Amino acid sequence: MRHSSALVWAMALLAAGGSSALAQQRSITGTVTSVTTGDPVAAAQIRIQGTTNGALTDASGRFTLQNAPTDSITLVVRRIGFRQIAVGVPANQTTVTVGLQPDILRLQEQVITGQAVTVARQNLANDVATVTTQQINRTSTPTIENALQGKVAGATITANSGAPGGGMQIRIRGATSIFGNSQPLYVIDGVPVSNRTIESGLNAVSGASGGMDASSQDNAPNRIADLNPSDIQSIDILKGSSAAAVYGAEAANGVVIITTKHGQPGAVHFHLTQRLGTYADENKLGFRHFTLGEAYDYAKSGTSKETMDSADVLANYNACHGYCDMEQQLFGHHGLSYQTALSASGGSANTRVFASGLLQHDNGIMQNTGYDKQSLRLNGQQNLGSRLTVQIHTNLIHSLTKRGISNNDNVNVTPYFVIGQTPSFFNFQPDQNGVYPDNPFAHSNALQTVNFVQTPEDVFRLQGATSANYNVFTTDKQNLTATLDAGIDHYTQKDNIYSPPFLEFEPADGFAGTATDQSAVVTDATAAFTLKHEYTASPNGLSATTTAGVRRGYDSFDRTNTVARGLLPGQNNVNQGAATSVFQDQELTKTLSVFAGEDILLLDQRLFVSGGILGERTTNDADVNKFFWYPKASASLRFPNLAPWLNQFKIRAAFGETGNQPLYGNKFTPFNTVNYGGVTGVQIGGTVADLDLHPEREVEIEGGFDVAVWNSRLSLSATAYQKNNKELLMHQTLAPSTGYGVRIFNGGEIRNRGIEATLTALPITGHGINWTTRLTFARNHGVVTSLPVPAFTVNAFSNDFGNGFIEVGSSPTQIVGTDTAAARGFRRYGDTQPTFDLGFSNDITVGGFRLYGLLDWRPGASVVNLSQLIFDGAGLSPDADGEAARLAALGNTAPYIQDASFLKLREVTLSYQLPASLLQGLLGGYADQASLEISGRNLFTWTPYKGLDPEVSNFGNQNVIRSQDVAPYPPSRSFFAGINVDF
Amino acid sequence: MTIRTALPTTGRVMHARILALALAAGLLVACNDVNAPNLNSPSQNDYATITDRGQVQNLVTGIIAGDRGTIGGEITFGEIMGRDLYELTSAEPRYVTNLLGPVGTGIDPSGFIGRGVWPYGTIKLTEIGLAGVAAAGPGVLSDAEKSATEGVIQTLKALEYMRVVEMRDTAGAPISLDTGGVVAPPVHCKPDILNLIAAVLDSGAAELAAGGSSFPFELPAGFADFSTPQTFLTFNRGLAAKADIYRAYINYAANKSIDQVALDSALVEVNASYLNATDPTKLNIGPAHTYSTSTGDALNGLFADSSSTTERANPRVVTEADPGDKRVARDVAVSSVMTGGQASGAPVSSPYIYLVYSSPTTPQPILPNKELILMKAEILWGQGQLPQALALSNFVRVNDGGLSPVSISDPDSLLTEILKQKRYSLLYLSADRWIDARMFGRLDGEPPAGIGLERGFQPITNIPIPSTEVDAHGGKIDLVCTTAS
Repeated sequence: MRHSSALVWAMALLAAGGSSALAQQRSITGTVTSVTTGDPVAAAQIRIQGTTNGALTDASGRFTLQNAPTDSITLVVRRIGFRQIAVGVPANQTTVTVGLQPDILRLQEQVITGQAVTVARQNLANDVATVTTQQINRTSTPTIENALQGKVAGATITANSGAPGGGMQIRIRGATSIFGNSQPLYVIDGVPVSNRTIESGLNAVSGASGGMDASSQDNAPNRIADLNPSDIQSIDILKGSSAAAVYGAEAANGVVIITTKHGQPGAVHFHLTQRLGTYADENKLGFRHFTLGEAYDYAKSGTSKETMDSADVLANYNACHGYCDMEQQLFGHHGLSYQTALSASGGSANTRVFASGLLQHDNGIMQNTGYDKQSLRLNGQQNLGSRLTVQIHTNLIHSLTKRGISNNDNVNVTPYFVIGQTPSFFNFQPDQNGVYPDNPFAHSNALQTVNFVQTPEDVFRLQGATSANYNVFTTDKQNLTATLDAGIDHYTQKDNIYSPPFLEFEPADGFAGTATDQSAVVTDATAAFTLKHEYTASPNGLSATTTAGVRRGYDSFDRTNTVARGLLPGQNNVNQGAATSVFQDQELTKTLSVFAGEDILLLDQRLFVSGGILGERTTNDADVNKFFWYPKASASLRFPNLAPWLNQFKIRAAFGETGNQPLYGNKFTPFNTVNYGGVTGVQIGGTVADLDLHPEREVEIEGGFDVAVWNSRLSLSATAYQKNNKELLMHQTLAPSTGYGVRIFNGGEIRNRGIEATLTALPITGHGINWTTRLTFARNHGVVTSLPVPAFTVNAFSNDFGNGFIEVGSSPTQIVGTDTAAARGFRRYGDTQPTFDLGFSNDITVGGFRLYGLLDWRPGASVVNLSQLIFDGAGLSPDADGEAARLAALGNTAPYIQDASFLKLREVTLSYQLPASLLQGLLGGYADQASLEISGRNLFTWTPYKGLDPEVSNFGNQNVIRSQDVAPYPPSRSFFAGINVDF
Repeated sequence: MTIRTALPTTGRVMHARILALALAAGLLVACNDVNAPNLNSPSQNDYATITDRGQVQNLVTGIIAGDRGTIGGEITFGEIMGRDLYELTSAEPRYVTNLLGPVGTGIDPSGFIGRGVWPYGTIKLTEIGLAGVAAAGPGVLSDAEKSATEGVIQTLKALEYMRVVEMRDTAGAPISLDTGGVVAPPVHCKPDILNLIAAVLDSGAAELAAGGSSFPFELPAGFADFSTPQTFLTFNRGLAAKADIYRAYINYAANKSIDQVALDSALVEVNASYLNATDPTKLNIGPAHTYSTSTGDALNGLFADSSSTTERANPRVVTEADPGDKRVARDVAVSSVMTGGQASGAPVSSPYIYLVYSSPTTPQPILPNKELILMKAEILWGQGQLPQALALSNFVRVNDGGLSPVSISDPDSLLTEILKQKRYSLLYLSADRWIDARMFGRLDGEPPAGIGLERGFQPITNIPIPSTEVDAHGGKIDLVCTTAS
């Protein structure tokens, strides 16, 4: 309770002078227009400085301000997209006209930097990347992460496979941990949400990791994919500790802050987007071609486990004219995909509502796969009196993802595993009776598998965030507000994998047929209370914002998985299996944080100084009563209009610390249980937790400058940073005589250094032509600077293929492989991290036409191409010479670690804004605006990589062993045609 | 905007606001306990103090299960090195190349054999159990129940150390320390380990004696005859006799010396055990591990289907047996010839399979009475009581082997005879043949005195210290020896 009493004292002190006098009143009316176009500006906020009294403009830019004092006042006028302006209104004047300047560089846009804290971009002392709704939704996107690729300097966003429904890793400013959490924190409308990856349980069928329970090789998506991209107003990405300290021990990998759309006052406006299109296979590996003679030989050779007789070979060979294109048959599925997004926005001065609905279907290029999502959102804001504003954000989501079978397997079930071991003259197609032929080469008919294995994953999700903002008092210089943010993110994920008993591979484990029933329930809840005191000496003079608050978090997770094997035909009830295994995995993490911060603007608001501290304790620390403290400090100084051509120049520097808390369960030294004659016993579990286990700590400094020249037509933001991740969660191999195998403790350090730059230019503007070009560049260099244990391997499969290896002086994400000529018998071959990331976009508007494209270039990363090894091992790669060379090298060197540099054409959109006359003719005045568009995503990839896609990860999101390519779901490109209508 | 004028900010309203804010903040910090238990498995901390009698059951069951997981490895490795067994599976050539390989370099300390029979997880569990039981409140366990429990745990702790020292011999063994895993425990010399075993067993015996008439937990079915403190004490004393035999003959192989004090103790102890050298039907009594096919329970890993087994009897078992030995007929059968170890260039083959484990739930004896009888023969032999020793040996020879008694007066020949009875009565049931041969200096040379070369190599003397253990000591182990030699 000592925290709350401190708050009460703070409030009491601040409130002491807090009564405001009342005087005689007048009514002021006015209009707000854009100075560049002369058009009226709707939804501009007008407020009498030093009071909460305000009004909003209507669609024609008009407003009426009641109860204004009769003496001279200052009106502050704000509107997103325009620069804020202060207008003096002398005593007795009752009308006013306000002209707003467009804010091209979004300098006055408020950027969220903490709990209930925002800073105008022009003063921001950190490099916070902001992605707007236009940037997100210009091209049809399956999930939110796809829409961020190539747009954020410093965030390497990589798909784990081509499967529908998401599954991507965001790595911001390098790898920060080895055994800890690898993903950024997501915050939506002030409330952290779950981005958990819940493995589907496919392992029960694929046997990829042994055992029956779910494994990291199941190719599961991370659940941020559920969010509807068209609901998003903007995304602010806090890249490191210097910006994200207020999020404590969850923020070391950065924080992605998502703000959803709000209703705009005025009449209800609807926006409809309807897109139709398809996903098509982007790349094929190709197979070895056989002459009939070679086919006979192959069927007889020892490469196949069973010989096929000559008549069979001939029949198969003739059935597909010597080449059955299995990739085409398995991955050539072109179903119709659609997105229907309808939103409504409207309200009055006191009430604003935004509502949206989404229907989305993405076809999978593999038969029997796809992604369906339905989303409903209702965002509301209500002023209750002049002091209290309540906001509520609710989102109800259902998604049904069918991702099929992919990735590593040990029983020949994954399509690429099977076709990689089956010569191209074998015909998988069923006969006229629907009977699938047995595959004598891999003992598994891939076409049968794909057509009959069911992998539905159902998610029902409810996100709600409420915010109550109470103005405790306002004077002309002071303002005290109290904010209560509370929210919940609750979902269930249900996976029912069904592999029917009649499939050719099915008796692989001795039981024909496998069915799973997995339910995972996730509940993340947060409540935060913040007090914010703002002091403004004069409109452009010193201002100081003081915040203090407390936040509680509650994250729970409960997954149960039942696997039944040995099924009756047609029965997928797990109760009907001959052998049943049950698994459960639970987590509960509670967090308490206290925080305080001070932001000060000085020198005509040119100097910005900020400092803050957060104390946090969580369930996952060994000592749950100990607060860990995370400070931050930053400053920026801007020089407006230094020269006629130099509009803005700002230098900035920031420092901050965050943490990465131990994973749930790390702090426990567990017992295993054992059964002896029906009596349960306990045994030593193998790991021992350090009694002092605590969060990893990230210390970051960054500095940079922002410059805008030539009427802000060219702007550059450049940043350099250094992050030191210390006290890493570490595994020490113990002397087995201690009774344990591994000790989990804190130690070691990774250092990341890098530079980032964002260049925005408007080469042509005006005369009906607008051309915006944008370049983002980021280069990060990570190195392990200390280790409290001997250098160690992070095992993927084998050094012969390519593993992670953590050693002092090398990158934590390096890939090492066997080299018998090297002193240690292995050496570094590459890295999962590219040398640099470069995104390049252009947006050209000519009259009603708009052409937009985005290129994403990432040279220098490597991938371990084990898909190729499958083909090579069976003598089936299309390049016989290369195959022989690779197999000869295997064991002496690591020929499957391959260059996976790439340049991708991520997004292309061509749209046409219907002219008013045509609009009138077609839609009879019912529509305000309408545009037609065609768009494509991932249309082309230029890469030396010989696998399906350089974006791949068999083990999903990983700190170290990403980029293992093992029979993945192949990549796709999408084409959509759409219409956008505002009415 | 009119509401504001309707609600002027009076002092009272301001107070109400502050109270409301304080309440909101207070609610957030009030329930400020962020602690949560381990939801997925019991934590070892939960056993730091026993608060529930069920925990005692879990601990004892876990410790005995730990021994059940260790005993198979000891028998397999020991019997291969002792020339009774081949394991010819093509999936794992090291059963041949390591265990029948050259002395000194034969066994890879980082392989599964080098890491095998290293039951320190179980030893750690005994220590957690002893501490937890000692800390239990009187409402949970009475003093007698505490003693009884501690007596059982001490006895099992000694049994695990005994398995380690039997396999590692003079390479030594670590003595567990409570360091939270941080520090590798020091590796002690063999005499230290034997002293530790004897002391732990004696302490356990004292606890069992003070343990009342019943245990506050159930022992597995194979311990049915040892399910009270008094009867379990007889098992403890059997193990104590074994430890004292090891102490008595510790230098015998080197210089033929015998520690008579230890031998005297061993005689007292074996007589206090469940030794029965009079009733021929009681040769096999003694605690045993049991198995079941129930979900989660274990099967006896030494069972292998006779039609496909790669676990073969070393042909010496048949050729070196006395004609008409019923134990050979009972435990060994002829099957097709199987060959293994081809990759090493020196393959071995055998047509014989074992019948000792007829099903996956065949119980596994831990210390059968016939072993106690022959242990007593070893004691008496060392005390010079040769006729008495011969009588015990003949008792097993006649009643277990179905052979006629022999008459031997030469000490060396008598020892050979005792060890032969031990070999055939404990065929594939114990590593004793190899352990005894090492103890009495009979590893070298061909039978009947020695146990014979295999693939041209002498028998391995010991399994090395696991490489992970050596690594944790910085790559080199310095043996600690607190016993004056």
